[in-house]
Amino acid sequence: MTARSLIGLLALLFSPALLANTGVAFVHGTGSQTDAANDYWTGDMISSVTAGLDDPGRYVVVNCDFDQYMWDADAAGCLAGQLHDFITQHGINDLVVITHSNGGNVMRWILSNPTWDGRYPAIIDATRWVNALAPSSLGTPLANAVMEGNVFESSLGWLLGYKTDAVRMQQTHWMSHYNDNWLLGTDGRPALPRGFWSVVGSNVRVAVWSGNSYCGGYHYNVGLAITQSWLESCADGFLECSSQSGAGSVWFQDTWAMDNGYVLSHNQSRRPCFGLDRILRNDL
Amino acid sequence: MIFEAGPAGPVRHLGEPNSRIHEGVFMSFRLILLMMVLALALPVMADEARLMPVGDGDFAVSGNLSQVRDDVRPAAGVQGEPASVFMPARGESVSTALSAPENDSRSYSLTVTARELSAGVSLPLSASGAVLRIVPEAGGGARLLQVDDVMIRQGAWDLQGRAAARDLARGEELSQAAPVFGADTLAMRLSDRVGAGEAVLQVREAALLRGGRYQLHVFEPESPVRARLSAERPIAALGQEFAAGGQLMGAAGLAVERVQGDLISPDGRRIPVDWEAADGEDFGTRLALPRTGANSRGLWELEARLEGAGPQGPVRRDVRVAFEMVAPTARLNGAAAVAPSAEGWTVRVAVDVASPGRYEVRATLPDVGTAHAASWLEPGRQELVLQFPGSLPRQAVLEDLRLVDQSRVALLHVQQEGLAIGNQRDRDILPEARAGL
Repeated sequence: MTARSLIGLLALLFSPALLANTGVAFVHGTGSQTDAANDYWTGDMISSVTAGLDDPGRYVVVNCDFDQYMWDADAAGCLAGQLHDFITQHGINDLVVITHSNGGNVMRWILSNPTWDGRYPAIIDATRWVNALAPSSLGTPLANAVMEGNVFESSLGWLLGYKTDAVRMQQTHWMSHYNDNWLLGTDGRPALPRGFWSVVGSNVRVAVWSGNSYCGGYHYNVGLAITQSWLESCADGFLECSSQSGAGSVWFQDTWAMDNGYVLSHNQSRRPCFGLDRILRNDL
Repeated sequence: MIFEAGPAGPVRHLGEPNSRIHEGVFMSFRLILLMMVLALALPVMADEARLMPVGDGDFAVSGNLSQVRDDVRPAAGVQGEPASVFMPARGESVSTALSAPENDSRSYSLTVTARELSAGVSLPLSASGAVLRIVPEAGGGARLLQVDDVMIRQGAWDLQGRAAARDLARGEELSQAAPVFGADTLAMRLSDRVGAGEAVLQVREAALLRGGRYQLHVFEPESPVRARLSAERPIAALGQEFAAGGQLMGAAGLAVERVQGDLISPDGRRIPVDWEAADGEDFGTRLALPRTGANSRGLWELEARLEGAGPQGPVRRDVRVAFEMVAPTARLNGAAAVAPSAEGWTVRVAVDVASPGRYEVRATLPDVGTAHAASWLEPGRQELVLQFPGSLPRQAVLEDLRLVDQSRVALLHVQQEGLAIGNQRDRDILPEARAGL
């Protein structure tokens, strides 16, 4: 045994990582959730992924109001509260965070602004990495389209073109500002303190005769065919590939890893479609 | 709190071992190496210092500070407590210069009445494949339109209902697919028969009996014609002058004929802006920003709505840039002091505070890491203390120095080269720095 091997073995033996207590958190995207386990992820997705844990009960499904700006107490504050409770109550020191869509931005806010909230440092410290499913890191032109030409009248409020602060924030020129000035991990910016691994959906298949159109719900995919019109050719119906891969590192694009090389629409990337759940399970 | 460095490698393969064991070993070696390098640096005595001058590409509030009456209070047990964090560097060093916001657009929108839709509304198009979205205004009688209510006329073509659309989605199927859209939206990609030139959108009168207003949004993904708008900087203080300029571009013979548009506050207020069109394709403005009303929990937008002429007829484009407008609630005083400490070394940074709130100072020692310190500060002369690990270096420049008003989500100071330590301190001294700590 060489000295280098011996040092490596000793380091492994004495590494606190051997005592890793792994847990997984599911963080939803835009919207205000009260039962994200059923309404957003589905029980099949969660049970399939958490089967990869030594203790399949060590997971948390976050329910927060991600209609707010990412820094809001009801968004990042709520997420921090639920993650902090989870890691402290279960002694988690090896947290894998699975985010979808705008949930990636809220998590990136926590990783980028460690003094914002007294709970953030413990969360960052416990996090192994973030698996960001279709993250809206650079925003989406669909949010631009919705917000253009908005009409606001002081006595009546928003009459046209307004959905939520989260939609507003995900306009491409707004996310450009936040990426350049407030968030870490995009091109030309300092790296995030933990890995942020994106899974990129590259297209939408909608055909009544095609089985892969039905995974995750056919009705969810029908409208995505026309939303692709607002997007570059490589897009999951809601986000362009450039946005999904705009922060951290690309883990894989759908066609590289999904069963039969299938694509993941934006709604399928939060469902047990084409082996996605199996890959996430094996990652634990 | 000092974080250990995580893995920096950008490549992760499917099926590779993911255990934190590997990461833990790597972290330990990196941290040990870092501490050894820092320990070799010769220590220097505690010393007062001054911030370096604010340069091009930096931002700092200037002039009088303002007391904002916004009743900001710390959230109990969360934002009220001081925090000090050091984050080791990961990956390569990068420039932290502020970049000017810029945005391109191939779209425009119109707000029209039911009566106008019934008579026919002109839609200037510069290419085929336009995507049209029709949204009824809330509360005014307008309602979701059906595709069969819609007719598109262009030249000899008179396309009714589905014949006018290559693709379409409406109502629930659109909002279920992409929740940014309301369930009252009709979206259609126009037939390939509809190309560049003026098209007329008309809606059956029977579908419009209840009146109201509608928003028409036209996006031309296949058009080469786009409007570009740039603003001079991404952050501005209340009352500052602010300039923006743009161009209609992408085809020969384009000319801007009319520009309108507003400054739009985060809460939706619109303040008209005097835009000027000049030299054919160019337009711009210089305006004085409002002296009150900054609500930094959201960005301000500068909007230009262009009407112009192109080789194939009229052209319309709307374009916006976003920027942060901040109230000068606090500023870096200019004074600082560096000194060894039990855990490494510290930088005490003086902050003049006008409005109570939670403030953060952060600064980066290149290739080593970033120190953050935040606390609730009351008005007056205050300080925040950055804690770095290792020995105080003989010479160094702290980069990306920032002052953040966390209570109002506002960047008050961003400086690429912030503080010189050791001999480099003599290179530049902030001339207007006032009394030290």
